Amino acid sequence: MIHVRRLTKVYKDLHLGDFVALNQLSFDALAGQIYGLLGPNGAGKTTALRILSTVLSPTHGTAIINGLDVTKNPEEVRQQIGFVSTNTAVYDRMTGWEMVEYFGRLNGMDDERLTDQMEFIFERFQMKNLKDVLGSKMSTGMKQKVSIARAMIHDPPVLIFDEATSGLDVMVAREVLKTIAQLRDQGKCIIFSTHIMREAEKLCDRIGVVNKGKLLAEGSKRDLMEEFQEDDLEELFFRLIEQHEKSAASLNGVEGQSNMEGVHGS
Amino acid sequence: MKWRNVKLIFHRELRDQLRDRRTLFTIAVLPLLMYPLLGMAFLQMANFSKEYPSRIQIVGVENLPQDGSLIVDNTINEDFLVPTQRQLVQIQTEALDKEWLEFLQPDRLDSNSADKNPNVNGKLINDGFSSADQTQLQKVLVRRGVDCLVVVPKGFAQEIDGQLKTQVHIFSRASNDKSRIAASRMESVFGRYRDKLVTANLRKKEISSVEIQPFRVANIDLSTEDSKRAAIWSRVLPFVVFIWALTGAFYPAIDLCAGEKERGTLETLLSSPATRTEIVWGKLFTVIAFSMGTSLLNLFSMSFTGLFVINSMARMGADTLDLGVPPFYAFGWLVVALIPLAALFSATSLAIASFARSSKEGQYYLMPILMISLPLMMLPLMPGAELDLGTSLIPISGLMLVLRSLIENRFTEAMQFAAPVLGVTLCCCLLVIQWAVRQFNNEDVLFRDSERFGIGVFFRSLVRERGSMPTFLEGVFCGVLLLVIRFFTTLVAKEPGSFHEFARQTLVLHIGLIMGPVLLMAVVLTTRPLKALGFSKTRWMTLPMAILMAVSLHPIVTGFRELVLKVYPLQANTAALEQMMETIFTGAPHFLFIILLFALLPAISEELAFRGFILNGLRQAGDRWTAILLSSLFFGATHGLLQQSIIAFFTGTLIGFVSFQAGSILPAMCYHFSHNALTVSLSQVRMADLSGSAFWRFFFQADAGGHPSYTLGGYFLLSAIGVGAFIWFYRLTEPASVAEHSPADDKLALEPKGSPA
Repeated sequence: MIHVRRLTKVYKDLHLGDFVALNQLSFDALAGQIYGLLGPNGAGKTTALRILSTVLSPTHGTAIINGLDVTKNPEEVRQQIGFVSTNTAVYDRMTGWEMVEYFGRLNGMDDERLTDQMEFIFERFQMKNLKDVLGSKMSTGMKQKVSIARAMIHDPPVLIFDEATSGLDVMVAREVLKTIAQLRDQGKCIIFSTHIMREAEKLCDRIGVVNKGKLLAEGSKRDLMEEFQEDDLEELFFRLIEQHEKSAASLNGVEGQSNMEGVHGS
Repeated sequence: MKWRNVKLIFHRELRDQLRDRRTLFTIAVLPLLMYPLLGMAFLQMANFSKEYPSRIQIVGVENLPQDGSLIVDNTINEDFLVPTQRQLVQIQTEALDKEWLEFLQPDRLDSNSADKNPNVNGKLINDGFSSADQTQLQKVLVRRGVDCLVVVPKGFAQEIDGQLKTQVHIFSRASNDKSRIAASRMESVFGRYRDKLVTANLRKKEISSVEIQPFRVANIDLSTEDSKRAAIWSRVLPFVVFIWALTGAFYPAIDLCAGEKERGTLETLLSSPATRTEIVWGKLFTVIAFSMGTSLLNLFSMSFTGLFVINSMARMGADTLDLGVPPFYAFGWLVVALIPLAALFSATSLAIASFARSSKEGQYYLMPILMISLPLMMLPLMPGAELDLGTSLIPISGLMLVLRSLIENRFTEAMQFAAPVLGVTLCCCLLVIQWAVRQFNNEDVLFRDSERFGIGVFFRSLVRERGSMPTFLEGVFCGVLLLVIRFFTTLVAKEPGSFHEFARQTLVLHIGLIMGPVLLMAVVLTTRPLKALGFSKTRWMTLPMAILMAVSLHPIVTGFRELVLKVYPLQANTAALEQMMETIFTGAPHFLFIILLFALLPAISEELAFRGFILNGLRQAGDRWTAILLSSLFFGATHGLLQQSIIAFFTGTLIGFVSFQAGSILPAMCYHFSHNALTVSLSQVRMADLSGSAFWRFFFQADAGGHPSYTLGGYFLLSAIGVGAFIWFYRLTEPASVAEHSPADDKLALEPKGSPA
């Protein structure tokens, strides 16, 4: 369903110069599965998901979603996906109903189908009380519910959740995770990024651990445990990150040393 | 582009804005409530504003003629006062006693001083009084609590015989409004008094007053009241409409771009199936709607409030202008003109607002837009600004002038220039809309994060990240820097009095102020300065081809020059400047020096700057014509005079194209040198010197000044060769690579297909 190959993104930064946010990231996510991107803050998860949702374009590499290239067919790709992130806010001056309706129409849905789908979603997610509430009056949990409803109104085969539970209280977070699990059961392909181990452990069928734009390990939870001889995902995560930080630091040291040698010469 | 999506976005944004209290305040509450409230406040204040009486001290009242005609019972005779000012002049009289005489020193007041100054008649005389005297006199005015002091000198009554031997002094403070008005009232009084004396003197000599006033001038105004009103409204209404169109566009644009970024909803929209172009058009229509709405509501509200205030003031007896109601059709024309203008302002605001990270940052960008737009809006208000081909080609100003003609019922004149005005406005609209779409496609603009900025970090990053070629921004910076240098050199430069002085100034300008900064920037900001300046290999054939094109396209450039001078004629003082340059030329020791200064030096320095560093920087943005036109714009702007700038822009575009195609600066230098050398030569050679040869006679004929100008045959033959050479040159070369530039593909950039391996 989703095939990512050597995806690279380089930003220009005033302080750091060329900043590599994604470094040749490759993975596959299949229908009926939740693929979890697990990494600390600044690992490149949001950048990767923004590229998949065609909001950003990659510097190098490809990403194919449902057979469509994100750089060559961005409009078609956007019809195949629903994107929810902590940053994808709701409009302050629109009600929950208007917001979901607006995105349904942007996805080309006709009146009849749109009304049916909206009734179904508002019923299923117990959002009827949000129909006439303006975005500015909603709580964080309410906003996230509307965001998810907005993302799945056109019933896309792929759903992308970028730290969808960040900032939510435990009750709402649990509800969101339950919803995502239900969507997986419906056969949707789901990409889910998080830095919370328990969420990844509980929800994801496959996990990719990323740090500083690099994919460090990938596989199902069981595969990862077996491969790295570790009983606990959290411990495995810290071990991988520490190892990567150390190797990156030693690489920088070698580079620095070679630079010094280059300066002083022999 | 799906118009369905554009409509959806437009409807959503419109609804969103109408639910925003700030927007509603700007477009509805402000015009509907604020203006009437302001009008009422103005009327209240008008009650307080009245004409204050002037307090005048007259010293030497005993020197006035004793018949008492000027001052009666210690007041000014009403015959010498304007009827409306009879209650407004209060006098205190005093004798010109010893104390006053010591203070004023009669030598400076006596009749002889009048002969020294031809402007004594009714003018305040400062001559003869030192600044210390003036300070003393000011203190006297303040101490005595009077607005002005009138001194009648001794012997005034005896000397008022028409021989201009005596004078009355009025001392006042022009910096003080009341004092200035008092002086003016006293001038009027003495003027009337003098007229009466003149008549009496003539009568005594049995001369009719007709003898000194053989005729009168009757100035009869044929314009109707309606046309006078239209003339005022035609200036006021477009200005009000245009200012509010800009303001009305800017705030919604900030909310729709920077505001959405701030609230995080822009990312939501960008991940929807709507394309960036559809998003821009949807938002643009919303901003246009608000721009027009704000403008029209403000217009109607201000007009009605203004009329109400003026009528009320008239009822209160104030001396107000009878403006009447604006002609109804004026509103129709304003609405028509508002459509393209609102589109232009809206697209500009949208493009600029998309750059801002937050609403607060967006508001800082309003001032630059105003600073660019206001002079264009003020230009048509200037006296003497008329609608012609030249002004019709100026964006915004042309539209305002057409609108003025339409409101003043000069329909034929307006229609005559409607096409160029609409053409220019439409071109600007399309360019700006394209810019806005580009901004929305640029993720660096949309996802610009806050970065800690420091001058040191900035310069370190410039050096750290420098590539073999300058960046787009470095190119723009170089162009702006040269413009600033040009501005200040114009301010400090003196008119050269001789050829040597002129030569020294030209050398300093080209070597020190153009080449210097450009070479420095190339060395500091790039790793390969020679390449950054355009010194790349090119086919040798491009060099003679450039010279051939410069010579054969010269008639076309000359024709364009004449066209420009016809549309924008040179001012008289500019023609005098040209005459002065001609005089300087005659001082040149040899013709070669003229060629050196006017052809060789600019060909090197200006090419290094404009087709070298600047063009190579601008081309990094990826678009060939944007780079060529923008570099030519800088090239034109540095030429100072409008006419020269337009011609230089045209020539710069040709040379820029040559440089871009060849991938090197060398053909551009050849073109520039040949073009300038030919222009200067033709201005220095006399046709009489060439007329001996049939060859030259085919190409040239004598112009009004006796210099060679192209014959019709010469014009067409050379132009045909020029166009042919141009096409040949185009085929010989192909555009150099301008794709994303990275150190890795340095080898590919600027290497045209035609260049040797």
